[in-house]
Amino acid sequence: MGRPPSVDRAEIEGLYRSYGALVRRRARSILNDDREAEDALQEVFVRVIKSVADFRRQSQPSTWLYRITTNLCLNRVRDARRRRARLASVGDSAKAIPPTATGPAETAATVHNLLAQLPQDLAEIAVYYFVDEMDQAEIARLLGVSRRTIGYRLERFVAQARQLLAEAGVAPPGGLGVPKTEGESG
Amino acid sequence: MTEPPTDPPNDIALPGAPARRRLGPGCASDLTLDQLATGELSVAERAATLGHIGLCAACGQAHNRLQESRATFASTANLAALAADALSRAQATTSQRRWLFGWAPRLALPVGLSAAAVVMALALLMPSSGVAPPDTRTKGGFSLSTYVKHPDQESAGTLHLGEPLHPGDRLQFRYNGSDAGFLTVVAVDGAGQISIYFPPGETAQKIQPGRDLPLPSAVELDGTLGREIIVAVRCAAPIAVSDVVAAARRAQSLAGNNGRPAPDIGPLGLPCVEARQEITKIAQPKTR
Ligand SMILES: [Zn+2]
Repeated sequence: MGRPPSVDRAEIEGLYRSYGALVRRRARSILNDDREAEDALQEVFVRVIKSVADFRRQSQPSTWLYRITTNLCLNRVRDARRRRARLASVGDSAKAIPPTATGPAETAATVHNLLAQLPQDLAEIAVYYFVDEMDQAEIARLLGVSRRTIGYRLERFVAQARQLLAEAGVAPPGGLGVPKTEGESG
Repeated sequence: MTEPPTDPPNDIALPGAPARRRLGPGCASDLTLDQLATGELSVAERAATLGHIGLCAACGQAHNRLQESRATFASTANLAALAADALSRAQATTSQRRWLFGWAPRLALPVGLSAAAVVMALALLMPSSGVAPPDTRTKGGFSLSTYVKHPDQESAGTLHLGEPLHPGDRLQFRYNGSDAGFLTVVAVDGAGQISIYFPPGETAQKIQPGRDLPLPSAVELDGTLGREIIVAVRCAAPIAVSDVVAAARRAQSLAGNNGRPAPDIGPLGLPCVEARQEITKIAQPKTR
């Protein structure tokens, strides 16, 4: 009981060298804030240290870190939203979504605003799909569910996102929601 | 909750966001590009990914962006300071949280319907806490969060964030809710077995409203691998645990009729509030 994690600083430094940028970048994408991302980076590595025996055995540490980072950051987004809830209505918050967007930064901003307001199981998948550009089969492997389940949850996320935008009086840009076939199967 | 019979489309657009980078099935996700950099891809995957980013401008640019962010991090971050900070935080939270859990098994719970499930009650040393972990999957103001302790982990349990779990890991639950009620927690595993995780008695246990209140028992995961859905049911009136199990079984057969595999069950259909957690159990990986 209570013995400190059996890991030394050199090993942790090595893990930062290999994976720090990945965690930092993704935290920044989800949280949309540099300082929050720095803190999330540390929180993720605290988790690595506390589960170091488990972490060392991962054959694909990046997938483990993707999940931990995503969920930690989503929790932060939600906590921040709870703190703000007394000050701003859902409509005001949805209006912060840029109606026209052109690149990865805008995708991150849009996703960030939606993540705070939509259920976490849908939000996690939306991060992998819209921010990390995974395909549905890849997300299905990461989460251990079927490709169909991923597709349905993504559709639910988008439907709820559209509803939030409509309630906020933000007209979705033209052509959205018309699926094009990507050619993947699963 | 019934899902339509056809598959959802492969490409789904997000309101307010530009189109995705991916142009086709050969395109690489950021995860793949990260794994290329960290050496986690197989020889074949590595060759295919390198071949693709040489031909696809969108993926090539994404690859360059990731490389730049790695280079920037390597040149600007003080890795020694970050590592020292994380280590001291880990040690601080270890001692801070140690008293939250008593992880030693005290008594065996009657195991729902499953002979395979090994469910043990673990007495908690101390129920209340100043630490406020974030809750997840809130429904109607009622939510459940899961804490995990791996057998080889130091004493503190950590908030489950979706990482795969292993047989032998121990789970402890906390709930949030603005109303009092009577709580039952059941689980449906990948083999379709239903287990009772809480309470140890025959009737749902009375709970008070509050934030991050721990349940006074914990469970040890058995050897059944795959996904597992944990359903917390809070009812306004006392209800027999067996009635909750029966409702879970009905929901399970309904899901089965709709072609959904275990453990994907819909709402239990009781006049109660539900909160869910999902875990995935995999075999203990081999030591590298
Ligand atoms: Zn490509």
